[in-house]
Amino acid sequence: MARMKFLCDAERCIECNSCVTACKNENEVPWGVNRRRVVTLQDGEPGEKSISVACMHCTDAPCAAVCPVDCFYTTEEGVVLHDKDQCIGCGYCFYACPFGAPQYPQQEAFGVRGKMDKCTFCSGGPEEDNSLAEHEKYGSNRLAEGKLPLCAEMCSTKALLAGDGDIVADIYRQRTLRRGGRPQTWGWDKAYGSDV
Amino acid sequence: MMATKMLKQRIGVLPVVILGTLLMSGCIEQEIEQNLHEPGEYKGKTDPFLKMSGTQEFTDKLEQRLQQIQTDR
Repeated sequence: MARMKFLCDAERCIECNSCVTACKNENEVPWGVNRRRVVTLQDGEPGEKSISVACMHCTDAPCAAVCPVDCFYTTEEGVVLHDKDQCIGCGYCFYACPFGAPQYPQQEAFGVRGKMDKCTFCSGGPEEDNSLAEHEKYGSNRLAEGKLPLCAEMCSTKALLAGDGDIVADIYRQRTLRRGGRPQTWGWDKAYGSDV
Repeated sequence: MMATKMLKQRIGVLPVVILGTLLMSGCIEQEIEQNLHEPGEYKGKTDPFLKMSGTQEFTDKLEQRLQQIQTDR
């Protein structure tokens, strides 16, 4: 069974933010909400690297584990989706998510949160496929049309990959072999030091 | 006279209260599982996309798309 995954190749990402723009345009994401962001590490220093981050559609999603109203579900492809009609905008998923993926539109004064919004891997939500209701609540459903997320499909350097985790890993492995090693801007050495 | 009548009434109620308390405290506590909320079970609407999701045809389509669009040319 295919499990959908995102992978951003830091060696290829040029911080053009076209993935962010593509996502916002395709899904008509409201102002102030970013389903995808480009994070730059060692900004302005030699060895600067950027990675595009959104919901990583975790296999054991912590957002789903902490949701008090159980509005999360996972498709057969491993895409983590949620029901906005069920969501109460409590913000627990935001605290639980290690990637800061859940976003909340500010709809009222005094910082009252709206319904949570996050990357859907361009597969909409629990509404009729590609209906107006689905588009308004969750954005486009490209997967139902046999397409993959637009952020990855229009990445000019093919840094961002989205699709079956096994194939994505194969593509990355081939690139790494060609390059002779993977960057250590992020990863084990960055987190724990090279001597661990 | 009135005070004596009230006292008698109160004394009459007292055994009932004591008996009731004893009966209630003597009850065996039964372990009842109260499931007010079933955690981890999706409570929202059913997604029609799930019918298509997971089929071999759909998986093949997405695989073909990935190879076609996202691999180096």
